[in-house]
Amino acid sequence: MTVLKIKALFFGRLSESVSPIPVEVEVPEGATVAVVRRDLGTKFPQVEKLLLTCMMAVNAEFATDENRLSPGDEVAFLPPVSGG
Amino acid sequence: MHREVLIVEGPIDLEPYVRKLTLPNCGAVTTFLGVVRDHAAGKSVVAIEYTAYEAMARKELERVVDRVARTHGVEGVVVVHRLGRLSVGEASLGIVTASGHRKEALMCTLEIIDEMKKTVPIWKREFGPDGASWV
Repeated sequence: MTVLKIKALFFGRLSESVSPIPVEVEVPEGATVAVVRRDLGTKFPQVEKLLLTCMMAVNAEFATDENRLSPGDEVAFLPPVSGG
Repeated sequence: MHREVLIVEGPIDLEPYVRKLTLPNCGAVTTFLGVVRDHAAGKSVVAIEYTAYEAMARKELERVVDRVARTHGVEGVVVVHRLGRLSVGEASLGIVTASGHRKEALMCTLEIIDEMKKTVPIWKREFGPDGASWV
């Protein structure tokens, strides 16, 4: 199975619960955003629900679970926002 | 339509933008400041820290502003959001709008705030006497 490396970013409360700095993650080639969510949810069970339900972005654009990933993609986990 | 969106680290000063948006065809120029309050949900607040996915926040805020400004037909909008740790009384958000008449300018401001609170990737963490909590 070929893998590709992506960079996962965590914001809001996830920056504290998971990581304040980007984390390199390996996923199978052809993986979608949904796969990354699931893998990280398993790795960080204390915030699994939030990781599975929060908004997502790939390369600074909103993304859906069906978004297919490419090597080097920046995948951001965005909890409910609270600016303003 | 004149539109500016800024994400800043220092104090917000809207005066230059008020001067810029005081246009000959505008009878209304409004300003709004969102300020850190000393309480939230029944708890005491001493400071709020704002963080953002900066690569995306400005782009998404621009999209929100463009959509709302078009809806209300205003002549100009400037939105400034501050990041970092702010004390009670400091402004986190500043908005200047200008239009021919007051209704459009005021409604535009209200809707920008409502809409940005749905999608713009900025987060706040409140600090009180008992510690910090994410909002």
